[in-house]
Amino acid sequence: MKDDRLDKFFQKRLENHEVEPPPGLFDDIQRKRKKSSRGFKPQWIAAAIAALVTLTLPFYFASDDEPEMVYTPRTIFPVIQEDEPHTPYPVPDVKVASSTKQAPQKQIQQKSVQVQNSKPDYSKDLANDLAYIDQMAKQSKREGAVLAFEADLKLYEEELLDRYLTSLEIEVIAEGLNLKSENMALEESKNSIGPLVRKFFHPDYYITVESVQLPSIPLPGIGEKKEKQQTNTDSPEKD
Amino acid sequence: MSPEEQEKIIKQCVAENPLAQRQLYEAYAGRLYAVCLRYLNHREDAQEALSNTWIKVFDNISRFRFESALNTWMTKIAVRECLMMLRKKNVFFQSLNEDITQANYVLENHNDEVEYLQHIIESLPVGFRTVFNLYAIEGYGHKEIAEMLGISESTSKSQLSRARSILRKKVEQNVFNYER
Repeated sequence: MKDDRLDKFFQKRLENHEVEPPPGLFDDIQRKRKKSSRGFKPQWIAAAIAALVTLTLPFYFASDDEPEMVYTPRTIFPVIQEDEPHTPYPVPDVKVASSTKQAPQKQIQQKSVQVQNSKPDYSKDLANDLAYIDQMAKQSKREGAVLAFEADLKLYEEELLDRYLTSLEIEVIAEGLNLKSENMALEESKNSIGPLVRKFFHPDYYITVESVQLPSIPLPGIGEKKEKQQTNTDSPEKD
Repeated sequence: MSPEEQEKIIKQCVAENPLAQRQLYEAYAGRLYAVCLRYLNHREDAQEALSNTWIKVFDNISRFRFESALNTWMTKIAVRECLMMLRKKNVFFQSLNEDITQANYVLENHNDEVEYLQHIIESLPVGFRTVFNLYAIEGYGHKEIAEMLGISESTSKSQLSRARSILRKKVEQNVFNYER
């Protein structure tokens, strides 16, 4: 009872008690209200996001039908110097094909080269590439380079890697062959296909394009080593 | 302010009439400021709480359904603002277990009895003050207070009883017309 009386005593006297607020507070309140109403409200932000998504979605789906990348074919060859120190991955410095014009060309019998797309005919470039590859292979005094080159060709012929090779760009293959042959030689992996295969699948070497049917190229002096090469196909590395 | 007059002002406030808003403010700001001071015991904090209270009142006045008195509705908003401020400052939970002897009281003899009562409530430790205000002045039960403050009912009861014992002592000493 005593407690209740105390509570009521305070309640009675304080419920209507007033303390004068500081002057200017009302103006301050109005200013704050105006400021907050001018700011971005969450519902407006949500509406803006929804509108943006609605407007951009059709463009997003429409762009899926078009090719992602416009491919411009080019011929790139690495500059290979015999005494240059070995640079493993990634791909060593390359120069754009101006050097290929000076490269001695050699008549090569091609079985068939078909590029299944509407792009310009690359058969001339291909002949140049093959001649260049052939020359590089010949010029190399290192046995490893020749073996590597042979191994690549073997992979083509046997269509072991058919599903990968069908999407390879002919120029890139040529480039890759040179790089690989050089690397193989420098690594002294003379009789091994393992490292070669690994490099062959390295994504740095390839660009996906239309299917290409590769020619088989007769190379002088390679046939004798082919048998040896076949026996080593499954062994990873051998010094 | 008569109920008809009040209703008219509220409708004008819903229509964002600045004159009506000022009228409403002038009618109730003093009472709400006293509430804020009772809870916060700090002029600047009380002014901030009052300012926030009025912003909420003007923003939400269209939701007022005349089911309770306008004064009660606005006081509830003010109390909620004060509790939010105490929670933000984390002072309430720090001082809940504050010892009575550590509390810093500035008790002076006031001629005005109501001002004196307000003053002694303001000088209570924040935990005692909040529970006493909510229970004795606003009329909330211990269960509601416990939920509002995130404390147990027994804590609420003990805070109230300690607050009462301090206040009783002060009232008995200084207020002449208090019936013992």
